Amino acid sequence: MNRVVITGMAPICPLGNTHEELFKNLCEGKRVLQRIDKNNAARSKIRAEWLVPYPELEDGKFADRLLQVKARGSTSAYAAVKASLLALEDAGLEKADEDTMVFVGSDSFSMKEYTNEITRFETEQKMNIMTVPITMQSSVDSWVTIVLGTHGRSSVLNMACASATTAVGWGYDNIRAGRCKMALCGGSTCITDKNLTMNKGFEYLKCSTTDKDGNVYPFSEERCGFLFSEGGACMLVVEELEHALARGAEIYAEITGFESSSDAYSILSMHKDGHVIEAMLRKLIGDKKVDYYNSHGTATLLNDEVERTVLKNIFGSKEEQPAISATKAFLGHTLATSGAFELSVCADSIRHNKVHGNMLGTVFNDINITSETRELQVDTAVSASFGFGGFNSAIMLERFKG
Amino acid sequence: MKADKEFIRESVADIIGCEVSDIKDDTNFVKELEVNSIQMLEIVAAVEDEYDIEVKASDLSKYDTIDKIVSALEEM
Repeated sequence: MNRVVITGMAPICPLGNTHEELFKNLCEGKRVLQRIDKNNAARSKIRAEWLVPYPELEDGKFADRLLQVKARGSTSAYAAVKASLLALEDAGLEKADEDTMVFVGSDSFSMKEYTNEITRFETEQKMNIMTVPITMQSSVDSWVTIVLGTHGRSSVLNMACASATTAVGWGYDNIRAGRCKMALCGGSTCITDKNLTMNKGFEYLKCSTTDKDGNVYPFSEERCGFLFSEGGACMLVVEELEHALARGAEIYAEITGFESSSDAYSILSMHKDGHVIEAMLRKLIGDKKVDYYNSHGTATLLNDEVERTVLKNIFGSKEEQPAISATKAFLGHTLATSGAFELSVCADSIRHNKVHGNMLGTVFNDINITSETRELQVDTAVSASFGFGGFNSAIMLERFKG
Repeated sequence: MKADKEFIRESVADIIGCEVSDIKDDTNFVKELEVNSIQMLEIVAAVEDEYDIEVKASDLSKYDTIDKIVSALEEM
């Protein structure tokens, strides 16, 4: 089996358009929030006051290569392509290998573009003639392959909030099995529309915070859900080790495991005892010591209680547990893309031997999570993602030691 | 806040798919009518929409009988 490493990482989010910037801002506890403008009847029904806005994509970088997708693709596709180009640049690559595989986690179709066209067709009896491909979720992945000119296997993975973690896992599996030397993997999410429909949708499901200050309290008694994010994109260059070494690439971390499972329980809820997640994580971790665990950590009543139980069952007491963090409290919940951001955070935790602090309330006293950013030797990290419908995925990263 | 008990009963019956007469004032939706967690969210959403209120996730169990819903609304 081939060894697999991460050599490029490109998050696009309000907390940074490079992984270094994102990690630094997380370690400093920064957040970027936008007050929700309740300027129409639908928006007036939203209880939350704050959201994480969609990131700015227009900096002119790669403008020529992005021209077609910007004009004719969805926002999700545009961001996925831009993140892919940035990831290649971060990896020191001018272009991807021809047989590169592309796996992009993407959840909802491009709501903004689609709903705009529905309205326009109704009022003007005209529409953007690209409405069909724009609303094809698969087009997010297609545009990446078209702009990059890659011919390997490719797919959009739609596994709710476990999508991007699974996308990276598929890249890992394929490289490990020798089917290709390189994969571009990650996620792209854009779930905004003029009424912020999804924001209200999560409120109905009691998943997103309505805290008047937009505060989020993962693994704490006061937890009341995640901070709604309009989305973002994050792509990683996943590469076969010898391929990376031959070109003198900087290796951020080695991927040493990927597991995925299905709760087969509810379209919304995790199974309350977390036994499927626990079995998956035990299989991933084996007898290895884990230094850092980047939680799914949505700060919903159920998720954090289930994850707490699973972590205690696997690792034991607070003192025996890895350092834990809940990145979504700062970044907002970027849904299908969240796992890619969190893998980039894990890799940078290994690179910098540092674990970012957390926004906490009355924190569970049996969980190894702190408000403060910690300097810590991180040789192994696990990133876990759990999605609506019972999708679970997790990846193990390790320091590359030759 | 004044609550319309019959509107609430009809809404709950509609969500559960039972007869209005099956739901007494003190019938527990979960224990007696086997309402699941998604149906509870639907019941609470119907009450939230009608009365323009927000029910916190931690308060869902206060909305599992007609009597409790009416009391919760009247306390607001």
